[in-house]
Amino acid sequence: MNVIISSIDFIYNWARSNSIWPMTFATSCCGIEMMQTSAANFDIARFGSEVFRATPRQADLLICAGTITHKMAPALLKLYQQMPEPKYVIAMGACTCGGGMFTDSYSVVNGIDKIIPVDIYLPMCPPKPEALLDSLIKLQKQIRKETILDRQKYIAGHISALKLDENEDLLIEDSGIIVQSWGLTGDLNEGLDKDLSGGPAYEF
Amino acid sequence: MMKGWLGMTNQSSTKMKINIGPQHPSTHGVLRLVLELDGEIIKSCEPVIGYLHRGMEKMAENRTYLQYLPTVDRIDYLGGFFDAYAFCDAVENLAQIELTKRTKYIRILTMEMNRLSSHLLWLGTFLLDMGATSPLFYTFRDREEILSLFEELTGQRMMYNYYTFGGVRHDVSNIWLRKVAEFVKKMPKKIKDYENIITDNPIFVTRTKDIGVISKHAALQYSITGPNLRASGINVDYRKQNPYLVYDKLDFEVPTAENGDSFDRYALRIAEMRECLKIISQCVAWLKVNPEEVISSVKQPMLKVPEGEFISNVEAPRGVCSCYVKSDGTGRPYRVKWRTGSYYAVQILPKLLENSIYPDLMAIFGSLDVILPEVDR
Amino acid sequence: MNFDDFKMMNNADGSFNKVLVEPAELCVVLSYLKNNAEFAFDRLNTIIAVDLGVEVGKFELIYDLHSIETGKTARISVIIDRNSPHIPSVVEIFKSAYFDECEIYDMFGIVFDKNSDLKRLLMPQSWIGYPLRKDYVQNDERLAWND
Repeated sequence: MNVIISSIDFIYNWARSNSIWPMTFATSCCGIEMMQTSAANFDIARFGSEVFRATPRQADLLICAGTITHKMAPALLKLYQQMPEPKYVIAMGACTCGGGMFTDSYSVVNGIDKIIPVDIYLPMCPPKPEALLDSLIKLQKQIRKETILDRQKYIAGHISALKLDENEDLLIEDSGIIVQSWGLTGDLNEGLDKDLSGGPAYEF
Repeated sequence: MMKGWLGMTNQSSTKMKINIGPQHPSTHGVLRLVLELDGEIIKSCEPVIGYLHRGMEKMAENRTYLQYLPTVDRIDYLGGFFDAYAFCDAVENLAQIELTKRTKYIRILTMEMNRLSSHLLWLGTFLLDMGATSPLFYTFRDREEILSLFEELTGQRMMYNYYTFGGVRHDVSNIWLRKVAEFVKKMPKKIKDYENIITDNPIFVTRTKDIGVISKHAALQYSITGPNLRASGINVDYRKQNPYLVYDKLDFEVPTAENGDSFDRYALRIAEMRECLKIISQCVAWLKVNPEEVISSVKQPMLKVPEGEFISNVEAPRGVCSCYVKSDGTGRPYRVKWRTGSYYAVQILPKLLENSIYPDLMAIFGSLDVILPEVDR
Repeated sequence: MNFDDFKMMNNADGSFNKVLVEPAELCVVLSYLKNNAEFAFDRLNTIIAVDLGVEVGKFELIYDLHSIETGKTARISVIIDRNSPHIPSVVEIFKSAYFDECEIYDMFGIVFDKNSDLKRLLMPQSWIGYPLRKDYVQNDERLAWND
């Protein structure tokens, strides 16, 4: 039985990991390096990311490139929630990993993992296109380690602990909400033998 | 009879409010446009900015002059050298620091190469927004060569951190200058290739001729500068009018156009690319035979600027970039204010879009060459 | 108003001269400088607002004017009170001042009279406080999740 599951796993994950379609979410300087990666010298299409979809409904990877401010945060959360499962996030650039050089600014969110779950962190300011391709390869390796028995957990998704305020342009804390994140983040070796069926991975 | 069919007479259609949201496949950045459409005619447009406001001006008050210098590259990331030069110029004038002639030539060389790479990216993305996908790959390929030259010189592809107060970080070598000269030799043919496929293309000409005309009066009222102003017929270039560095010793022309429509703005930037190549080859020829000291003699981390204020003006690829620095005698600036060219191009956009049709939106907006981090700072 | 002071302003030698003007005379001075053929300062480059400090208790506004024909620049400086900052708007003279004034209202809280549509430009509409003032402290509890 396990032989059947693991061979189905192999083909299923191989097909998914070799055709990840990202979504254009370029805010700032890292966006230009993302465009250079899709251009002729560092071709991202040879890794399977043939097209950059403009709408979140047709994409399965959100490369968040650029600084996220308080005004932009509701848009980012809405876009992430509109993407269909299974979805992945690469935090590209120092600003998205933890604020970058703007940590002491009044209007910058210090890292997008306060809002959405992140799979791969890619520091550097801005990362070279080779670094972005390296992070894509890491993501592909991570996808190949998944199994279809745990599929239900990935569909459960991420419930954020933030909500919109009454003017609908700022994200504020929503007290009483528990964040559920099903082990999509973490290091590469963790995952298959860990029992995640008990409940949320951590409380917010 | 045919007119009345399907109701295509003068019935008042319901107006529709469309939000071109902060995330969109266009490449200018996070600008939100709230359009009111009547069928296909744009009745009103309201730009909403501020999605990338990072607080550059407040951050300056918390950092020393040397700590603030790498941050300045990120204001206009496609023209990082111009903003760094504006800040360095203001501080050097306040602190009375002199530059050697070789430093000035190196600064002009790097700034003009940066202008060339900025215009190349603008060309690719302008045509991508209008629907043509192939020029993007050609211009990005050429831009890669400039970026690898910069990486060899400064260590970084985009945010260079190369200027210091009173000089540059290290000298340029003759090997690097030879590579720049080879690059300059093969560029004119490539610019001719771009013109061959774009300028006579009937679709491009129909979409951009007489679209988005900025009159001379409107350009002055809305404080438009740079190539957008010169396309309307007013010949003002700060490199010629108030020459800074050694621009008065270099031989180049400033192209202008007459009509002020999108096609003229495109043709003007192509002509500007050719002038950049002229300036670059003159600088390379001078730098090869004139060795001099370029490392600054000022102790950078301890720089204490005397009290005063100064405004420096630079001709950046998108307009005039002004930097106001007010110092109170300590090692940190008291107030820094940035004035960039794209800020006013966004302000004139609703006026240009009045009573035009929806497909003209990208033809007008793309030709204005707007970069949102410059607008929001 | 003695307009001879303006004749000595010239940025060619690199010096920074500014002329102090009363807030009530601001519109008169700017429209004279724009329409006079000798000065011809027809482009408003930017409006700069400086917070002179809590003890001094004043804001300073600097209007940076450029001339297209002569290439000269001029700086008009206005000082207003910090506790009730009001100043007449120059939108009727230079249309590009609209974005500048909205941004200064957003960052400093200076109210421009006769500017009919003053609103926050760069910060979200529900932001509390004026960020570029010297005594600004961000103690918004709603944003405590960002710490």
